[in-house]
Amino acid sequence: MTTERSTDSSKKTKKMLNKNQTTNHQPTNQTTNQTTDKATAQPKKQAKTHTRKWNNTTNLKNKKPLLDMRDLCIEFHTHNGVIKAIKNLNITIQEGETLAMVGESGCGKSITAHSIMGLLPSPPATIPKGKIFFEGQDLLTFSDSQMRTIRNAQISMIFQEPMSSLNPTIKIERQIIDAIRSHQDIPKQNAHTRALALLKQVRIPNPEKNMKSYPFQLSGGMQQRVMIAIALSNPSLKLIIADEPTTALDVTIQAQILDILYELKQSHSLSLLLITHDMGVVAQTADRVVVLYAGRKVEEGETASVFDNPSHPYTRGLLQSMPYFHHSSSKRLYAMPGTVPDLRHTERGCPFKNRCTISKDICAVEFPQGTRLNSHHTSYCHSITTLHSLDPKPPSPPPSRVKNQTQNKKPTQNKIKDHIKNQQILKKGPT
Amino acid sequence: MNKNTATPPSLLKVQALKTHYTLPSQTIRGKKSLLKAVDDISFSVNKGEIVGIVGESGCGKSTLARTLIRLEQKTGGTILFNGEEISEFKGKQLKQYRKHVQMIFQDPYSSLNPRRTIGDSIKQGLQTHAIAPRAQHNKIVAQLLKEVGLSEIFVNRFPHQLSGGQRQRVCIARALSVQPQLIICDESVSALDVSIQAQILNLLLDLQEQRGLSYIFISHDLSVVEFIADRIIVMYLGKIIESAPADELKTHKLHPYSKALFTSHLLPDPHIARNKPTIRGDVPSAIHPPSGCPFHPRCPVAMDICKTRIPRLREIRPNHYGACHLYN
Repeated sequence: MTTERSTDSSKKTKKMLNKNQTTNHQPTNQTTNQTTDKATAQPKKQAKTHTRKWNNTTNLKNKKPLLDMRDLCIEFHTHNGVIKAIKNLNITIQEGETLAMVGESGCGKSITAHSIMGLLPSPPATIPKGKIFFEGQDLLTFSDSQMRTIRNAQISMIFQEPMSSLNPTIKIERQIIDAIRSHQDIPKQNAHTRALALLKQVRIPNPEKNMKSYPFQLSGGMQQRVMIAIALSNPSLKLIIADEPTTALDVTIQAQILDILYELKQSHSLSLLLITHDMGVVAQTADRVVVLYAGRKVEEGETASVFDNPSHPYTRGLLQSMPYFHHSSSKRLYAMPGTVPDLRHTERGCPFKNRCTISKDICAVEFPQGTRLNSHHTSYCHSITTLHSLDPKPPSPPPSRVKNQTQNKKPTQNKIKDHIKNQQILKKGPT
Repeated sequence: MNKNTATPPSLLKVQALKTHYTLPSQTIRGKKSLLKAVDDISFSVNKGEIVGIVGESGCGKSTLARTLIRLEQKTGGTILFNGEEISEFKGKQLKQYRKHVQMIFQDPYSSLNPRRTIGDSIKQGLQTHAIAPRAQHNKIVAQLLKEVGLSEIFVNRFPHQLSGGQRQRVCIARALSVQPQLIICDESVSALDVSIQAQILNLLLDLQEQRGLSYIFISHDLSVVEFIADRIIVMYLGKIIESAPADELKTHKLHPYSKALFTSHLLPDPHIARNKPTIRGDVPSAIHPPSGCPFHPRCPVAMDICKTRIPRLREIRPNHYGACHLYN
């Protein structure tokens, strides 16, 4: 029933777009038209399988890097001293990839995103070191006016709280039209038709009526859809940065929003940088994961590899402390001791050493070099071999959950085999 | 649903509870509209039991909690605490009730007075209820802080010097200071990070064991409620639509809404393909709720009868209650 409805709405969008084409021959319309074609094709396929995945790592090999952060450092100069929020961060986002950045509050996820967009308030923020290459150009050297041609044109951002990111005094119609016209020189009437098409793409029911409303008249889920529509307003878009896009929403709405994001990402062949603290969202949406802790990258790899074989004590602890992975007889969750360190007191060595159960003397002195577990999976821990001999079995879901998913059983078993193989390699010595 | 729980005496017994708000009319002579935030809810909490309440935002979870603690006036029904009707409490009796039932709020940033030290905040309850001689208060505060895993040095600190997890511990210590029998946790761990959330959940469970506390645990995080609760109540638009022991609900979800809610929850496992969500759209407006079953416009298996008749909550499996026409 649901698929019917969505195809219906996209048919309407197509009709509308065709009408639009007759009046306005612009390349933008062609691209959107293609996208709706793909969008209509997609639900039909998914209806057969009844289960669907948002992440798909197979076609990611040999892609060009779109965004490349090298040795990025971000500091904040405050009255209480210098806060080193990000230290030597290297992150690459490939074309068409969904990269998830995970970590607890205060680990520097949002700051990294803001630095890409050039939104860091300076002062107090400074970037003493590092480069952010976007399609080969260093964004940090750009002037304000140059950044304006990038922002919302080639890189868009979706924020956590749609209510505080939308202007409460302006109707959403004008907010979307403004976003469209800020980068494209098209008449108001055409921008209006395009705004309507965008609202249909993000599945806002009754878009003609809803675009005349103020943000407060819409629910949280609807507001977030409007935010996505604004983010997509420019056809030259290449990268979406979504900063906790579903944290403020209910689970049922969360699934709908992630659905829309995924479909649009596929149809417009965009890259997505997803910032979240929800491991459920990561597991279901991301192709690759970067785990941050206190401004440092502690683990990076393909989603399946990281979840099957978490190779940093922090990632491991994070997964184990979730109720989902809890299936021991005692009714207590695994809880990592302590809290995130205070970034004002810059300490040498690994930032996780005080909470780590397997820390060594060297952890207090130097930050570990990356250890490669496979071609895409790197972990930054001195005790990586100890870690694996401690607990050879990765956390696995309780049997009741797996029972229903028989078709997915095989890959898990293969992963465990791979994992054991990896361990043997590790015991021989790091490669 | 209260029949079976008669053997152990129930601490809190709620019957046909209603909390309605009258909203001002949109025009001068227009009709005033009625918002039924909590509509005809019955359940009970036994001593030492953890009752979890789940539902989407706007389903009346928080209003229910606030009505139970008398921050909101009920419109109808009864709330019996140890067999006594709480809405008739006044003066001393009400003060006593507030001592027995404490609440931990969602946001530890706004629920602590920023101008009071942690010690002062915790001491307030002790002073108001004259728990012990004033001379012993400092000692009790230190003891409470230790119990929730904070060191004694926090006594003289202010809330802004503490992290979110530490503040939530202070809120728990404050709730415990008056030796309550029932604690209502309204989204108490939702604002916390995963690793801190696990610490706080373990702490709540430890305290329950040591002190024989009961909890009403309200959350939108289904995995947390599934883990901590003995009994889970699923709410939708002010009504209970399903209620069952946690283990029973894990394996047999009856109501289409419960099924949809739990399948929408994303599992942290990349090998399990998520189920396609069975419901679409938002929660309908509580001011103009749909006719019949409030869930029928979003229900994937809605029938004709759902549009006209409101299903009643009945026992469908042993000790498992549901409100759905499918099981008639």
